[in-house]
Amino acid sequence: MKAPGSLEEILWITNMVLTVGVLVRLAMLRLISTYPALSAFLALQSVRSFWLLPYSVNTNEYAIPYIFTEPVLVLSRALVVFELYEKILSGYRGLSVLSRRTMSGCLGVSLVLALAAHLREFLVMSPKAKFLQGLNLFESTVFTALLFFLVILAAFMLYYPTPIRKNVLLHSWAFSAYFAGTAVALYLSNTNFEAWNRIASVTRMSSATLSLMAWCLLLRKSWESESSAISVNHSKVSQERLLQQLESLNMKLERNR
Amino acid sequence: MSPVTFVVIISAGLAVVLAWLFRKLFRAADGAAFSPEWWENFSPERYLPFANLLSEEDFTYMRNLPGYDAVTERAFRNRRVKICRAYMMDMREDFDRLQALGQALILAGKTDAGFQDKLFGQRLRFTRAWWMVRLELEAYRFGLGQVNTGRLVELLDGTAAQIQPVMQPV
Repeated sequence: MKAPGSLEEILWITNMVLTVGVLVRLAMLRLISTYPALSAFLALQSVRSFWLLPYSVNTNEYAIPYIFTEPVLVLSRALVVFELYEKILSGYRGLSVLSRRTMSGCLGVSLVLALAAHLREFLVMSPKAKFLQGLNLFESTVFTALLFFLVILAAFMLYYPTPIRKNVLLHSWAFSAYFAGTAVALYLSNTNFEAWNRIASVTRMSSATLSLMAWCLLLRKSWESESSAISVNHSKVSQERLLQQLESLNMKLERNR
Repeated sequence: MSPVTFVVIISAGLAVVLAWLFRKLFRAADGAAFSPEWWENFSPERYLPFANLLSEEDFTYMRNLPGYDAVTERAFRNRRVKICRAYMMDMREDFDRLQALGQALILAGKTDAGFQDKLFGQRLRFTRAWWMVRLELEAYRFGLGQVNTGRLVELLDGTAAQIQPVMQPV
């Protein structure tokens, strides 16, 4: 492997280290089985990065594995979002409005919005890098749709708060920031590939670095039991405390009878 | 507009929306805390004066007083609207606390299967009524139409009535 020279290479290695770091933290906190899709995505990402590390970007040894693994990674990111949705849904148990049909509708709306946002890009294709641009466009559309989906979910959580694990919120935030940064970078790249591809690449990797750093620094075991929305949390101890709190409410009512 | 300017604007907008949204979500716990003291003192009846605050009778009486002028009436109206807005903010806080209490009851397994749906239905109705009253208030400031605050009090009462049976000591 050659020594890192450009900013892109430094960011790439940083991302690789941080990806492994998040995976190790998940393992140390025994959260791998809680977030299997997230863990699988981080593992796949790490394997792909180590595989491509020895090769230069402009070689077939780099390009072919990249082109074939990228759709798999896009799909695994989508699975992470659906895993987050399942975790959020568990906080809203018993709410019929959040049926699979409603969520499919939300996903459909997100996809339509994403396609509408990319309409112009479908028409502007550089003849020099048509295949790579096509891949970028596919990724960008999927990421934008997933971003819209996460934003709709976040807006719903804000409107109708229920206890949600803080780690789930952290994952949602990190993925939203990553999808937003990447979609913007891919848009730049697709608008004028020759002029903006390098800047887009740096923007994309910077957003990944930011999200991974947030994960590394903020991910914690206690956030599995602490929740947002109301001052209660999911651990057994705190659920007992909640029952005591409700019990004391009852006692006061009884006294006032 | 050049693509770069467009991208910069979109990125800044996205960053602001994401930061705001998730900051609000992480901090949501501070806003809706309920306590035994609050539940003990809570009564939707506290908001009954709110329904009479904007009664036209006060203005009819005022118009017959010596020294009445349109400027005084407007100032009086604006003052009443301001008081109403403060009442509405308190109402929303109390409603959020009631909803948080409802969520706590669900978490503690003290509710039946349809409780979550009922709670959500109340949230939808309260939001719609709250914004209707806000709009009516804006029109009222200019002497247009009447403000129906009664339905907000009814909805608060309705949510409390849903929670009350679950809270009854057994």
